[in-house]
Amino acid sequence: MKTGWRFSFMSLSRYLALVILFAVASLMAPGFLSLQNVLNLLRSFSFLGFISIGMTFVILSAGIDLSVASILAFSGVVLGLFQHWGIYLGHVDQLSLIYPTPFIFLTVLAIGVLLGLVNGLVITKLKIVDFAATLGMMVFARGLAFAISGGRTIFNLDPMALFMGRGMVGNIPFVAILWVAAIVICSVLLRYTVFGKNLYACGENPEAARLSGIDPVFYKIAVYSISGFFAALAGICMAGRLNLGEPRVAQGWELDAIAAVVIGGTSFAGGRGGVVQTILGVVIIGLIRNILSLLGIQPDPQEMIMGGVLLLAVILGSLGTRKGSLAHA
Amino acid sequence: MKLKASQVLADYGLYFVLLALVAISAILSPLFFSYINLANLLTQASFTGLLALGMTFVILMGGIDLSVGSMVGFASILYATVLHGALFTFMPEQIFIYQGAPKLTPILPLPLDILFVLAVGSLFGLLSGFLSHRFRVHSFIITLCIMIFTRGLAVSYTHGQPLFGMPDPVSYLAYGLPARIPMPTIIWLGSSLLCLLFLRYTRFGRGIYAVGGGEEAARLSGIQPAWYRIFPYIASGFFAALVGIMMSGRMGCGDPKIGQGWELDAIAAVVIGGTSLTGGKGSVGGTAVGVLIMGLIINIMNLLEIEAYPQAMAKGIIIIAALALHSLLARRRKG
Amino acid sequence: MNEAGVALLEARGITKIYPGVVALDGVDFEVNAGEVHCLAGENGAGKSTLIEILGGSYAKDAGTIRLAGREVEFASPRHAQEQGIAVLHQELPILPHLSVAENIFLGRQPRGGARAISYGEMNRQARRWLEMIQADVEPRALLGDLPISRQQLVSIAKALSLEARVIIFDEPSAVLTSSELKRLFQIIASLKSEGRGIVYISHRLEEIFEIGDRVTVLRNGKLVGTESIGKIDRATLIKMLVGREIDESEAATAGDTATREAPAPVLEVRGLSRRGVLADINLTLHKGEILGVYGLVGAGRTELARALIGADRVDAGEILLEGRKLNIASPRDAIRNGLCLAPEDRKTQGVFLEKSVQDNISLPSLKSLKGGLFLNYGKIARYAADFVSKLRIATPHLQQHVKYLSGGNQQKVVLAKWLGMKLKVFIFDEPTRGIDVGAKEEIRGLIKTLAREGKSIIMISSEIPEILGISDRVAVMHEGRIEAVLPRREATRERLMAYSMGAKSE
Repeated sequence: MKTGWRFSFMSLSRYLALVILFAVASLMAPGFLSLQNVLNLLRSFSFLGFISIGMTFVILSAGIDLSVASILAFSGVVLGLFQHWGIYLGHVDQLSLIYPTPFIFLTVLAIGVLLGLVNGLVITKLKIVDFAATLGMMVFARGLAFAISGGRTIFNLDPMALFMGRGMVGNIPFVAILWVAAIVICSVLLRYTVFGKNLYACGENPEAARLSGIDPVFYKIAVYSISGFFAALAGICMAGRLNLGEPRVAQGWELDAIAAVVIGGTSFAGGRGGVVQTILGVVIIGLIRNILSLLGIQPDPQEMIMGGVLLLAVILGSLGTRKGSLAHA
Repeated sequence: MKLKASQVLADYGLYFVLLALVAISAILSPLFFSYINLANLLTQASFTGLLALGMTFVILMGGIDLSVGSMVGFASILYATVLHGALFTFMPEQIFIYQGAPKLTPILPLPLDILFVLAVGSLFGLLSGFLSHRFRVHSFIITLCIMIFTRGLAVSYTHGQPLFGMPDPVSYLAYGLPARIPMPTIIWLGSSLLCLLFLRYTRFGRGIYAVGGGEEAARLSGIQPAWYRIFPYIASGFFAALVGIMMSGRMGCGDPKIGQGWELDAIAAVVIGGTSLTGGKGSVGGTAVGVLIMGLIINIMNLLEIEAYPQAMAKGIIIIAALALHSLLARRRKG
Repeated sequence: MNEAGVALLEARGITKIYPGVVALDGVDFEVNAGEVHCLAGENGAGKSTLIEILGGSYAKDAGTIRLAGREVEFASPRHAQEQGIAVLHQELPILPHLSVAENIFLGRQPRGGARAISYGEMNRQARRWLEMIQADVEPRALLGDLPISRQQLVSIAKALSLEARVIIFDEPSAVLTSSELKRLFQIIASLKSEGRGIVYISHRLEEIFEIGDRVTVLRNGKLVGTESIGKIDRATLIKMLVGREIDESEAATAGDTATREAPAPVLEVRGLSRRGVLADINLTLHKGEILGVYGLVGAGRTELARALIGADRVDAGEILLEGRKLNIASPRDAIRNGLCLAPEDRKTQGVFLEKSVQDNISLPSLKSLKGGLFLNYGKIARYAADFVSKLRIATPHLQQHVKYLSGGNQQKVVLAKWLGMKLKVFIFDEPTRGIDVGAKEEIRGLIKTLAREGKSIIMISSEIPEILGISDRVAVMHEGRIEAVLPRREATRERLMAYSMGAKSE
């Protein structure tokens, strides 16, 4: 449902930034705008894209999820471990007879949902503020990943997992299709279901929502569970892409996700924004990283620049709202 | 006066925990009470303690400073650079490769170098506090950005390599043993005492409690919140820079990677010590006990040969548990 | 009057205008040394605004304030305090984690050697002020641990420590037991004898007559009159409070009430209690009836509404709907059973300001506006448009954000969202507050129509003419209890006023 075009400075500048970034990139690398390259880019954006979908849900509910990257890494490790167990049992085939790979995927996804659920419960039942609770989970999940993997990388995954990460459907990377599908489903969920409408209501004003018969506790737990789901999904795909389960993967990605959501226009204050808008943020962040790589800038200076980008995004984002972002301190 | 169980727990629980941890440590390692072990333990704890001191100010104001760990590494590098008159070089390997390398900034006497780094740390704190206050954005996201930025800056500048060549006086800061007490511990306890006095006996210090605990009431009493909101972050940056300098002395080099995850230890110590995340409630004394508790827990985890990341995991659980426990005790107390 | 014949605090022609509302219109008010001057008026009469201006929290738009003859302008509450005026607010802003003494001396703690705060001195001085009012409070105790009555004593001690010559009490008795109130009066008497000027805001007639030397009545932002207590009686005071304007709606609907009463009880409330807030509430609501609930601020009306709707928990009591006992743990349960609430705080609890008219109206009914699995926006738009036209909601289009609507139209949106849901009981909490006169009439008309259609209504209101004009019966609340339930023909302004101020029904 369109709320009508609002040509505010913020809206315009987002699209402008996108155009400028594409222009810069294509100047730097002649084949940049080729179909092949764009599809490749889509694949690399997809991983960030998945966790950004989850982060959008969370930020819509006026929360924050610092644990997405850790859950991503943890999921990859768990996936790898399932393969290992198969090998230990003698034949990989034997495991897939009693526990087919799709079920492994579902288990990993379920674990992601469970971790997200824990986040939601800690926040609502233990009454611990969002960032502190997910900070704890961030550290916990990453630590758990290291613990169960012994700090080692787990190589050689199941072909189905490889397909998730590397497979192509025709010329188009499978993850990109998955990402777009996820966006469509979530967009429909947010705009065309009662769940979605209620979620927006809880995000904007939990007390008014409560008096209208909505249960804000349920929706809080739901968004964190969704975030956990997408983190796990990203973890599976990432592991497939790299063909390994690695606890050190995706460090700092939660910030890219936050930046993507904020740049996309979803407000920290809750109740405004959406997953389609987040696409813009993901592409912008992805392009910035891409350009920085093309410029030969090392990972660490890249981090520095991304830190600055996020800071700018957050500050500009807070200028729009009257009460600013989150309870300030 | 009747003693309620929850009351006793709230007031003295920390000490019970501390004693229990000492007991566990002693059981796990018969050498626990040896001088070397205690000195080591205290030294480690002192670094966390200084970070926790700044963090106490910030959390009292209802905020959080996630950038302290990165600031330690950044200060460490900055210090090494300034020490060798190489502040504006972008090829730090030149500083140390040959003695005759041109100095772009004058070599200053030691105290001025130290002051410079402390000032830079404080300025970053000022930036964090100002941005958070002015744009009404929660400090966790602001300091998160600063954290990535300074870490990235430090590592980029040195290409990830440590910078060597620390003069002796700085090592003294880290290794000195005046009266057989480790220097870091003296600095930590001394700073804690000063901060305790500041928070307790100055109007500004009480103002911090007031603005953190109830801004409206503070305003009605004529207090203008702005500087009270910003100051804690300056303190936090200051202490982080101090730890960075001391770590340089300890390692004999400036290391951009030092301090990773230390913000978590600091937060855990402050939270265990009873300072509330919502602000207005807590104390330096409580944090000090929290620092010792964290130090003992980390020591026990090392003795049990638990690896780095699972340790981090445990810290996450500890923070959540401490928060939940204090929140429960506070609600019980209200009756 | 002091010897010089000049009032301690003199305010003349005080005017304060907010967009769309004149809060104070040329009000005169003065306090003499050694006097207790009571300030009375209905909710919204302007009492709070006046004392906020006198206390330096708000700026006045017109008028002069003189302290002992000298004209002053207050730039801030601190400034007013320094000049000797202390306001003790109804909702004390306190620092619960700091000690009593610290709260008293916040920002001006006494300093000793090396300019360090001297806690000994601070506690000593605090103890002195506390003893002066015979408050049994330990200066080192944490303020948040004390009961509200003690906290109040601390704020009085604070006012004394500020050397306040004028102390303004804003409804202090709302949180006190009768013995605590007695002590408060003793304290006020001794303050009086010291030559201070006391302003005492209260709704309670007996208090005004017991402690006041003079009383000033405000109504609708205007000064009605100032009288000496000795020269006035209860009836006259009530007349001053309630006014003499003629209300057409009252006359017009007097005849309707007979036809609207139906015998079948729809809602029965038995023994509803919540510690400190509601005490043994019993009421019955009939089908098609409008039960007005009158009472002053702090009487517990909103708390009752929230308890009925499941927004707040209760300690005891039961609610029966059409004879069946209800288990209401949340507003969701209440709505499912057919009760709904239009909250008092419309802007922050009744509507979603950043959402469209369409979204607001359709939100609770979304389940029924689906086409298969998904929401059917065509249906939603038609649903919303239907109510927009039925209730004549003035909005340029359905997508307009509710924050741009006028108060009256926002209230209509609140109403609209419940109307399509086949609910049985509607609870309105101050539905016409802050709305212009024309819209008020419209809302009242809509409520009456609802009743005619067989819905049962509980309507909370502070405006006596409104209550009298719309209700079949009127319940009057006072300090968490229902003092009386009167059928319309027995409800007069004077009786409502009296019960709301604590008169007991025989």
